[in-house]
Amino acid sequence: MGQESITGLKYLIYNAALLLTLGIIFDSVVTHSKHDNILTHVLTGLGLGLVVLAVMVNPWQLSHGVVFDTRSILLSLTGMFFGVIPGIIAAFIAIIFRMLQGGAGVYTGCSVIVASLLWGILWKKMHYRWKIPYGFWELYSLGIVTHITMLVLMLFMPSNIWAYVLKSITLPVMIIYPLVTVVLGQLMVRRMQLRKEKVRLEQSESQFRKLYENAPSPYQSLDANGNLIAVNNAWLNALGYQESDVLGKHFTFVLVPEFYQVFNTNFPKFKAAGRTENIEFELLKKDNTKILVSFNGVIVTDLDGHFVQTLCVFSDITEMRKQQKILAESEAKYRSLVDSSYSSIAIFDFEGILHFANSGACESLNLSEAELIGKSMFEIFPPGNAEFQLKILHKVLSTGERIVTESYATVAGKGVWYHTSVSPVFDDNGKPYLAVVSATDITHIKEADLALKESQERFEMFMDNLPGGAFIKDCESRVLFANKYLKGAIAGWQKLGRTPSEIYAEEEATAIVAEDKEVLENGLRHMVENIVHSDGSLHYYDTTKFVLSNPKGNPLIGGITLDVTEQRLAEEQRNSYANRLEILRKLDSIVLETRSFDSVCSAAVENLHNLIPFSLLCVNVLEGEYVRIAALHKPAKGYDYIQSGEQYIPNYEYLDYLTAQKTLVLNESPQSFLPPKMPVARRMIEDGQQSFMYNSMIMQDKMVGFLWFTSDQQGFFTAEHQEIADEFADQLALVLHHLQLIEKIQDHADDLEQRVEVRTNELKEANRELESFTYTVAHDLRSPLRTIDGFCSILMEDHAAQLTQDAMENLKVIIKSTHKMDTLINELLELAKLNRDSLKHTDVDMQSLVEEVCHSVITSKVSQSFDIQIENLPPCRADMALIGQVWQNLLENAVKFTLPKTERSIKIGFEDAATETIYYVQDSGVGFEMKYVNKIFAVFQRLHHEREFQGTGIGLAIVKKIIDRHNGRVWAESTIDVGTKVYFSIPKTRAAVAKNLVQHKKQ
Amino acid sequence: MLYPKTILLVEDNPGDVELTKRALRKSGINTNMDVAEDGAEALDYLFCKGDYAVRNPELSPNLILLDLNLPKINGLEVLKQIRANDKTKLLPVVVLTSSKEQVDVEAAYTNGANSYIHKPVDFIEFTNTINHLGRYWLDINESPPRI
Repeated sequence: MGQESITGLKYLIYNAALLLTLGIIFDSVVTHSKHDNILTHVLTGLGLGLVVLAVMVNPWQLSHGVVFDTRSILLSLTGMFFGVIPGIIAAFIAIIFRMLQGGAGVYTGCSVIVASLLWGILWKKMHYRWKIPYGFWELYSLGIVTHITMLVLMLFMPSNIWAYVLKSITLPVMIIYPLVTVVLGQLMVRRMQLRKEKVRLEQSESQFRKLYENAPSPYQSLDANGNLIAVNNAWLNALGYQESDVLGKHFTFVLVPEFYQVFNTNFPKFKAAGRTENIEFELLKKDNTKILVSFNGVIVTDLDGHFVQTLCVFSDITEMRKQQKILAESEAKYRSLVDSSYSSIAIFDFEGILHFANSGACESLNLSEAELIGKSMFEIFPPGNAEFQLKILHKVLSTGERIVTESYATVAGKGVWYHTSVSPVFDDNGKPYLAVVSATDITHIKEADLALKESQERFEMFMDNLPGGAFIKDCESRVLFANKYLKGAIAGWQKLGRTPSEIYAEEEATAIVAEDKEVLENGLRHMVENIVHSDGSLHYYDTTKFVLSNPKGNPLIGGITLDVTEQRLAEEQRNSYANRLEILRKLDSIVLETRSFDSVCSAAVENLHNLIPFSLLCVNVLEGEYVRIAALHKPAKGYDYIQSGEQYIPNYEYLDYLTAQKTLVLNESPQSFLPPKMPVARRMIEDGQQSFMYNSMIMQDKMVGFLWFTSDQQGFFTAEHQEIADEFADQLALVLHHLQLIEKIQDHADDLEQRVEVRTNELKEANRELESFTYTVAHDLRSPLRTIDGFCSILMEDHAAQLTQDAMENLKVIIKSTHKMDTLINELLELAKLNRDSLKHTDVDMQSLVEEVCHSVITSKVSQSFDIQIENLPPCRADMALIGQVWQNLLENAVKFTLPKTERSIKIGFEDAATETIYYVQDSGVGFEMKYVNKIFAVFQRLHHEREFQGTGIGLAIVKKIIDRHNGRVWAESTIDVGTKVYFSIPKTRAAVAKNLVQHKKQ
Repeated sequence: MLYPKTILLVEDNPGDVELTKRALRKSGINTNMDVAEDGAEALDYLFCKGDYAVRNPELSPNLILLDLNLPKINGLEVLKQIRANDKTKLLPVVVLTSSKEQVDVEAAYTNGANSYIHKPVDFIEFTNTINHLGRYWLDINESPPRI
């Protein structure tokens, strides 16, 4: 190595060191902007340009105009690390400066600048394209290539110097420049990596901070003294403070005092150990409520391992504690429940190892739970049973389904029945991993069950041996129980649980359901039903249904039923006899009610049809030489050749035969028996009548008629039919006889009735005539009288002069007669009226009535000559007007017959009898002979001549009539020339009679 | 007085007619008497029918003396028809009969008779009765308005 080389080497090292120094300064001064924009590139380029200037200012000057420096290194690395724009700017600055330096190597120098930059850019491209890292060799190779290029470019220097230059610089350049390139490149790579790390760190920190700030869990950080230096939002939210409230405060600020000691003990330990877990504190919230929290934390140390701060997170476990407490309580309850269970409950795993046993299990095995846990089934259960239980356990764990079994085992020499339930316990994945075995000693239940079964069997045996049916139905008529009898006898009862609608036809089912409802309502029902047996036979059942009160639910219907078919049939037979009697009795009553034999027969025949369902019945009655059909019952159609009421000449021989036989039944081919010449009978056979029956009606050994029954069925007439028909025939014979008698009586009665009617009509006619007569008398008899009287008077008035004295006298007689006639008419009318008019009873004051009548009868001109005595007459109950008439007539008579006498006295008195009052009028008149006493009360009967005593002879008749109508009596006593005493009596009222009786008794 | 008052006597017995006429005459009452011999004639007279078709219907009698026992149509029926007709319903009708029967009295008044008088048999009594009757009904009593 020559002198120049060594000098060059020295200068070049200087220059390289400068470059390195400047590079480091540049790198630390130029903060790399995150923003990759043009301005950044330009500024970077200018910066690098300054560095290039700096290294070019201190070059190694080999000769004039030939300078060497480390610009090639810088530019190649610029291209490689900073890219095109900064590279071009730096290169431009370098070229300008080199041009200003001038000299022989000016162009070579410029070309070296460009070449270096190009190689750097090329390396950068290669780095990105092929992902070639910026390692030592990459940088070194860049250095070698760049500087070989540089040496090659020296050849373009003036020929006089290039050899010299090459000789001087080759060695130092090739030794130093690649190495410097590597060193500076490495520096750049380092810086680049540092930058990347920093960015990553910043990102990480910001993420962490976000996480920290927004973390859902509360975080806090304490310094060495226990003061709060950081808390996150969740922490603030959890405790309700503001950050400013708590930062810088000691942790005990938020701690419940009871926990100061815990903190004081644990904080140093925490700091020493570097972490803490599940330390529980009760923290005080701003609103003074407390929360229970659990802390987990780590400490942060500096690089030297000294404590910096704590990082703690806590979680609110208040709720969790509460839940744990509840869970614990629930567990305790569950445990006590399980323990209090009568059953033995244990939990086993797949191997049959016991994990849990309740007190029941402990007791039954006489071991404590601690002793039991861990034991296998084989140690616990009796030998045979353990295998069985394990098998079940495996099945439960494999299927996940509960299994319930009953098993028998001998425990302590005693047979015990167990009811065992094995249920799976599932893990979090839903796979069964444990089994709960619950075993209950059901020995006593089993025993009871057996006893029940036995009782049940006895019940069923009893039921099944009942001679009748027994059943139980629910309230919907569903058959819950039917005994063997019912199941066997009646179709549809073999299967239990069926409703009537499933067994019977709809109508019947509805009736049964209704019946059952009634039973449920009324409690009891007794009935006779007809039921068709499975074999089709009809049976009568006497059924009693009753309510079975069911403590467990709706009431049930119980029923017992007995086959009463035989009794029923017997009863029916009895009934049919009764029916027969009833019909015969009816017949009797018909006989009594009805008058014609034919109507008796017709009515009877209809009734008889109820007993003998014949096709045709003909009642034949013998009437002289003929037989008459008195009644006929025949089918609705056909048989027109036989008619009711027809007469025919009988076959007498046959009738004699019948009379002898009494009854004849021809149940089969009657034609073979019948004599010829019985066309009607033969026609009937042709018309399908196959059975005949004849019953004679015999009265006093004489046939009076016969019955003829036919039926379209062969062999129809039974012995019973015959019996009934005979009875009927006898009855009819009797009826006929009776009727004949009745007819006779009737004839007489009719005759009598007719006569009575005739008489009544006659009487009525007489009455009518009488009434008409009365009326005529009233109206018409008077008119001629008036005319006679009138015209006689006119004669006497108008023609008195022409008439002789004698004629005048005669006219007077005529007038007098007419007046008398008028009186007579009036009295007769009066008498007639007495018959017609009804009495008007009142209380009659006899005393005043008599006095009144006396006044009118005994006129003033005669009164002084009469001695009239009136006793104090008692009252009576009578028709006042009529009684007045009585007194008037009697008094008139008394006056009339007393006038001729000189001693004139009239006495009116009374006699009191028990039941009547007797009044009388006594005079001192002429009297009459008592032999005529009966005549005086008759109409027109007079005992004296008219010239002696005026009068019509009706007065006493009227008296008698009136007193008769009062139910009283009239009589008279008389003696000639002494006087007459006429009595009449009026009956007393019942009240008066009673009163009288009482008075009599008192006396 | 323009016209003498008219009496319609319904009476089948000519003796009674004569006696009545005489009695009225003797009483001196100025009156004109028409006689109907049976019920049918009385009705013809009153309603201007049959033989009486030409009678002036305006001249209805001032008084009707009516016997009950009449041929053809009896007195009660005549009375009923008089009362049933608007023209005659207000006419004074005096029943003059031999009957004293309560039934007849009742029937007469029930059918609207103004009076019921029993003919006495005695001539003097009869004359007095007619006399009183005529005076009362024709002189004293105010006739109903003519319709």
